[in-house]
Amino acid sequence: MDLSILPQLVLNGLVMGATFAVLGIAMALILGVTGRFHFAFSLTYTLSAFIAAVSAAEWGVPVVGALVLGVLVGGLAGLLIEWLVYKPLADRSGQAALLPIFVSSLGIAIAGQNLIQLMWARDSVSVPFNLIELQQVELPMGLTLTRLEIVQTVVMIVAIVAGVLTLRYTRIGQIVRGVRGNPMMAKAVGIRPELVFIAVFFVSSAAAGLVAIFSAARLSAAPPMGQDALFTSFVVAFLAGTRSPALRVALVGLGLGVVQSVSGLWVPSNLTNLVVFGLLFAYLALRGTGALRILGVRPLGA
Amino acid sequence: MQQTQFWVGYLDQALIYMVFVVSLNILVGYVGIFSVGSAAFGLIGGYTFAYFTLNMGWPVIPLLMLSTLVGAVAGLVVAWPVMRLSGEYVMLLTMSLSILAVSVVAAIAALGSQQGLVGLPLPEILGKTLLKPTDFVPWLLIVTVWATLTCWRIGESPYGRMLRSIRDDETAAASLGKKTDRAKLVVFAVMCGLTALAGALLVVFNGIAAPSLFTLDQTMLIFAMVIVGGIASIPGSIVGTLLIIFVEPVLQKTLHLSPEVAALVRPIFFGLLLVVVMRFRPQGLIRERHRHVKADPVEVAKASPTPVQPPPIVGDERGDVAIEVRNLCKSFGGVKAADDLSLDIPTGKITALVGPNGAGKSSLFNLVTGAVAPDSGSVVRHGVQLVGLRPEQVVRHGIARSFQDVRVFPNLTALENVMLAGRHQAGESITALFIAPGKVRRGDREQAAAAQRWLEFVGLGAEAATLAGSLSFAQQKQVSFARALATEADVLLLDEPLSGIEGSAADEMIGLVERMRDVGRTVCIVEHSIQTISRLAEWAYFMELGRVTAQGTVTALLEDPRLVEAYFGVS
Repeated sequence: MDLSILPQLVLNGLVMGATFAVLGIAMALILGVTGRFHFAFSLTYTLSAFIAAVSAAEWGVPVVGALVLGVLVGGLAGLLIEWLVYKPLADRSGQAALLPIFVSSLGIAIAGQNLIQLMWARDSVSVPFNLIELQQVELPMGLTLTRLEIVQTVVMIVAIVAGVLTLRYTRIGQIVRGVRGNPMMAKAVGIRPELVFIAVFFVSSAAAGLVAIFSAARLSAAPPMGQDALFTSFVVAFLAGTRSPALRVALVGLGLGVVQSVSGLWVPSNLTNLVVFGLLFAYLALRGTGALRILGVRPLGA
Repeated sequence: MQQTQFWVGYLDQALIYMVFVVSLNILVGYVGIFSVGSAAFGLIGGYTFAYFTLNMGWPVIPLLMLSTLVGAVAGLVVAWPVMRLSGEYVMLLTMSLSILAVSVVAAIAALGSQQGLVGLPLPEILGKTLLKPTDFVPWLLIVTVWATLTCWRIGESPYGRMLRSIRDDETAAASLGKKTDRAKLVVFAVMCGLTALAGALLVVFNGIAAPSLFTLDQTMLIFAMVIVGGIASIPGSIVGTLLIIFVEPVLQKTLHLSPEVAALVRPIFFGLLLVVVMRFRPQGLIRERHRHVKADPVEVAKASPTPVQPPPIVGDERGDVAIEVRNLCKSFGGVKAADDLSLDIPTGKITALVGPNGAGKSSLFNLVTGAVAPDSGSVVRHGVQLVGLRPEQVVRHGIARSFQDVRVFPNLTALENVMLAGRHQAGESITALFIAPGKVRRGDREQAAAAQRWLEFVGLGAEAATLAGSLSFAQQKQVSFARALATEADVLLLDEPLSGIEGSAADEMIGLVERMRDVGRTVCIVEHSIQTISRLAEWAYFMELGRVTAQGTVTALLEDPRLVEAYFGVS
């Protein structure tokens, strides 16, 4: 085991963890506020990446414009899914809406991913997106990052801070927290929960789209890319607690990124992304068997 | 000839997937376990088969049995956390299991890594080598029919009735003495065994055990077949599988799409189909339908010559006190539901718990029946400590309850609701279903006759065949009383039996509670109507903030101005 690479692994983990944090906050908002088991999160994520990559490569849109377009389309897709699919099901099924919404969400994700592949990735496996050059930048203590990673991290930190402050200190945040706490009571004081739900879907999908576009800039846009993002967002949201403050979710995301990166010291590199799933599986298994209670750990989650 | 093999190849696939689908439908449709882990258990079965056939050279049939067994054992391990998790957590757990299983297998060199285990010998059964798709058909047909009949037998039996009650309301099922955890554990393991068998068949058919056969997408495909065909419908599973499997070849042949494009169009088709089905036909193409039990009049007459007189209670050594509650404490955060609460429920009488909302009356029922564990204190019945027992164990100590919100099983008939409460049912053992079908059939007939008798006792004999969900609220309450009586418990805890009903229905309900006492039941009742309590209860406890603050006859309690003010808010 080569411990000299530990600082670099921690730094890489923080870079990755910042994206996990944004995904976690987005998913925690959706789960905590709307209660929707939004499997199609993977589709809006992938769609953002492809819109950005295809608009830049084929439609001649400048890269920054492509980035904005990708984010907006992702947000809009999330909004439409809530408005046209989930809301009618929830209105009809009430408390029993978990399965219908999950199944519909699953259907949208499956159909959407394959449609994207049919339209844009039939001949090549992925579509590249050249946002920023992947040039290495030397940092103090012998650490290195690419320019893309630095810009990405700055953007993610701005997104996290904006999310945390908005939810904590603004009127909008107060409304969202009100609906999350008690939608009926929120309705009684004049808030329209259905509009809050739609807004949450737009903002969360747009935020996830931002992560997706940076991911596409690093690795190209590929149809299955949303699946890892979906599970990462679930892990962060459930481990932190879907009704927890955004800051806590962000810290769990950062921590998870570091854990996954540092696990490279022991786990083969092709398996480090499994650490997230392993943690989720272990957490849920312990929760289900009651071992968390025996160990004196207070269960988190929804 | 080539055309025939083309279509028969898809038929083989459909037969294999049917095994996946019917077993998943039992979990999702009959038990309400939203498992998304089919591919993981298929992988376990498939790799077990491939590993042993390559390294040991074992024949096909014993290896299929071994794969099934290994899958069932793995299912048993996973079922342990699954049975106590709520729906969304079960989905997450099983999904992460699917991803982990594929990734771990793909990383193990001994299992062929990404390529998988290749070079499997051609399958040979009874001396015949299976080369072409048509060679597989009879054998796959045998296995698929067997697996489907197995699932059918489990689903459409007293065991399946119990599973559906757990699906609809697990708390209510446990309150009738059903061992819900054990039932879920057993059925999950059995279905995982069948899923592993399907995985092994997939490996036999493809001649390779590769991670790509068992990805999360495969799980989603199987899940889609269940949903499109119809939840809790075995015929629906067959239709759903055929529909989705045959989309691909039909697209290839009718629209002349290349196999690659058809493979992409198929998931688009079934993905959209899922959305449309959920929106416009959520029950699936073939809706849930079960054969409902009817009581045989001859059996009913044989079981009870005097239909309104229930049998004496056997094995109950009656003392003066049916239940002793001592120093019971329970807090929910800062709220004390029980605060050093002590009381006795006298045997053979009607005792009332009265007090303002939030006094802890219903909470006391939850604590006594094991639905909620107290922080400290004791609940003793005939010298046996009940604290720490689960609801189904408490019922076996002779204490049953009804719920304020009734909690009947809406998709079962009134008769089936009451039948569920019967103890010692042979049909609730999965092994008895297959090795003693006659005993199961006889037992079910007897249960139906006994249940009919209890329905007649509560005045609902004529509605035995009506779905409980279609009955009026008052009738549902009668069903819940019949159900509590049928548990053979001699202490009945009735939570607001008159709430939501009035007029003659309320009078009938009061008469029914009196008849319960008259046939030897000890009744403890929570009720807000002072008139009702005055008529029914011989003794009453006045509760405030989780404590008993007064006790006596209702008349005596009503003479205390402080209690009247505490209860009605006026002096």
